[in-house]
Parts: sequence; C-alpha cells; structure tokens
Amino acid sequence: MRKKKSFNIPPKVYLIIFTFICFVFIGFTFFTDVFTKPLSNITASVIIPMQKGVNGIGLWLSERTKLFESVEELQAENAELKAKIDELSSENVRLKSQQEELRQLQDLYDLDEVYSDYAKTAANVIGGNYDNWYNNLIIDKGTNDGIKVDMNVIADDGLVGIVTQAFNNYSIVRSIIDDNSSVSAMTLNTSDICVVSGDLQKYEQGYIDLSHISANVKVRDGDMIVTSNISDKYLQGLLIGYAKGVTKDANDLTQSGYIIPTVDFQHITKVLVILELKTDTSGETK
Amino acid sequence: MRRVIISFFSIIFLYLLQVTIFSNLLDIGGIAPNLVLMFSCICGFMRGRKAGTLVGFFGGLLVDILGGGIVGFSALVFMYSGFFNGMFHKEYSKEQILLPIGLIFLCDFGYGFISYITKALIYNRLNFGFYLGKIIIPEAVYTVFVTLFSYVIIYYINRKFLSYDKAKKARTLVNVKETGIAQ
Repeated sequence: MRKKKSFNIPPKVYLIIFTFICFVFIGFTFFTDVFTKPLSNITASVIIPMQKGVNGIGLWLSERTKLFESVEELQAENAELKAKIDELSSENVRLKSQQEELRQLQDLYDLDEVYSDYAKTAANVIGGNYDNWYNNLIIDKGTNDGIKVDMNVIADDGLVGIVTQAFNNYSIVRSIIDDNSSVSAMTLNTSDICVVSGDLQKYEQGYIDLSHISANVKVRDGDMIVTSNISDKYLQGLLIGYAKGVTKDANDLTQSGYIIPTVDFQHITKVLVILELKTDTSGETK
Repeated sequence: MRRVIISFFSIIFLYLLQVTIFSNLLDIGGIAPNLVLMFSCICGFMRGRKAGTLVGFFGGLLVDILGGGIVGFSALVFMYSGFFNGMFHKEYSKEQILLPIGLIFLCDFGYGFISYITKALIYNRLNFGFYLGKIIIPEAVYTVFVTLFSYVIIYYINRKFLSYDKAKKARTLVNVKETGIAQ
C-alpha cells in the first residue's frame, strides 16, 4: 500500500509526459519509420490473427443475413444469369479463337510481355481503415509473403490501389478512390495521357476524377481508361474504369471529366497483389 | 491491476470491432463510429483524469500504429479527450448520462475538426461544409448513438470492479486493524 502511494503521479504529469511522447512520434513519422515499424510488427503479430477471426465472424454474419433475401429475387437473378452464361459462352468461343490468333501474332512479333502473366498472390481484405478519412484496405499478406511497398493491387476486373505500407503479416493498400490518391493513366484506344485522382466528394456519386487530358483529344463516354506507360509505380495497362462526361476546362488547354470505376469498392473481400514492381521490370529488361 | 487488464482487452476488442464489423457491415453511408475515442472518454468520465489519459494514449497509439497514418496523432487527440472528460469525473453518477453523451459528441466533433485540418485541408480541400456534413457530424452522431448502449455496459463492468476494489480495501483495512490489535 505504502509503495503505491509513493508512485502516485498527478494526472497532469501523465498528460505532459505522453504529450511529449506523442510529439516525438509525430516528428519521427515524417522522417523515418525505424522506430514505428518494429512497434507495428510486434503489435500486428498479436492483433492481426485476432482481426482475421473477427473478420471471419463478420463475413459469416453478412452471409447469414443474405440468406434471408427473397427467393423470388434469387430466381429472377438465376434466370438472368443463365441467359448471361449463354451469351458469355458464345462470346468466350469467339474470344478464344481471337486469343489464339493474338498468341500467334505475338509470337511473330516476339512480344513476351503479356500483362496477364504477372505473378500474383491472392489476399483477403481483413479490415477497413479505423477512421472515416481514408479509404484504405488492410490485407492479410505482408512482407513474409513477398509483398513490398508500391506493388499494384487489383480485384477481379480492375485496379484497386497500391500497397503503401507493408509489415510482416499485413499491409495497407491505398485505394484509388482515396482523397490523396492520384494515378497516371491513359485512354486505351488512343494512348493519351491523363490523370485519375480520387475525390471523396465525387465518389459520393460513384465517380472519381479524370483530368489533364489535352484539349485536342476526343474522349467519348465509355472509353476505357487504363494505367499509363509513363507511370513509375503502376504497371501498364491495368483497367481503371470508363470515362464519362469529358468536357473542356476553362483554360481551353485541358479537358476533364469523370471515371466510373470498375471495382465495387464497398464490397471488396478478396484482392490480387501483383508481385512485380514497375521499377523491377524496367530494370530487368535487357 | 485487474482494471488495467480489463481496459487493455477492451481497447483491443473495440479496435477489432471498429475495423472489421463496424467499418464493413454496420457502417451507415460509409461512416463508422469512433469506438476507441468513445471508450477513452467514458473511462475518463467514470474513473478520472488519469485513467482517461492512459486509455486515450494507448488506444490512440494502437489505432495509429496499425492504421499506418501519422503515429501519435490519434493518441494525442484521444488522450486529451480522456483528460478533458476526466475533469467532469466529479459529476459522475448513475443517472447522469446526458453529460457524458454531450462530452463525447464534443470530443468526436473536435477529433473530426482536427482531422479535417490535418487530413484534408493540407491537401487543398477547402469545402469544409461537405466534410462537415459527410464525415464529421455523422460520425459524431453515430458515436453518440453507440454510446447510449455501451455506456450502460461499461457502467456495470466498472461498478462491478469498483465494488470489488472497495471490498478489497475494506478487507485490507480489517487486516491492518487485526494485526494492530494483535501487536
């Protein structure tokens, strides 16, 4: 008892000490992650397995609730999907023949760089961001699985974002709809460079920003926008989305509009991380 | 000691709840409540400035370290919220729920405002009205809504340990007296 009394530090002293520690941390974060990274790794080794468990429970719960969706709705969807299967399988045959043709042509031209051939690893999304200001994803693969900072992340049909921080057993992915995200892109059919940047306000309506297209380029609604060849972090040719409402800016030199992203950012549970860095590929080319 | 352990696990539990279930399943219009801030505020209000400061600091640190933002930012804001709530510890009673709710709303609003400055304004997002209506106010309201339920739970947990501590204190007092008499 007496021992405890002698340790009785007034709350204000606590406040001052911890304020000082906070400022030291904040100061260090701007320059280096030497101190915070080991701390993150240690904390994550305890928290992330638990997080996986809780996330699993969450997924199970959401699946349960989905079960109660009306049967009619599902039947309608089933019929619709069956029709789609027919449509797609016929298209598939057509595409396969084209693929074969493409392969032959590529062989002819000796193009060995096919984008679908990137080594990828699947990762589960095990959480969002703590606060509402960022649009980050937490995935359950880290440096132990070969993930590095600046690797591109895709979901089934389009670009999701980029790994901004990689720890031992988890990584943080900044999605392209984040307020601070900006991607160098180009139109697929004419290869004109533009910039795709996330904007919280526009994303409310389901769009992200498309800007810096030069004035003499004609971009129609529905044109595919892919990552550009000049970007130093994003691999070339990953689909971002479809252009919409491109109009001339007030300065008469550039055009801007919107993009409808292909990925449904609200419901991502699995992503693919491309295990190849743009800088690596450019370094390795003979 | 038991309180420290309970608080420690509560912070982790609330953090996990926040990043998994609240941010993906129970979010309203993409907005999740701020559970760790809420917990440090309630701790400060129920147990005084010291508890509020400590819970706020370590809770905020956990959020920062795993979230990958500026390490120390949330810790600082949560800690001051806990301390601020601790100043109203004198008013703490069972019936008093309006005051902690008001304080939590205020603290969450403050957190939102500071977040706007450090996370949006410095990137040249000047339309404060949008962020106010889309993030800051909804988050504060949602947090208050969650507080209504969690305050009762935390109150009973706290009371259980308070009575436990009192019983322990009484026991030690009796022991001291007895040994005193024996001597």
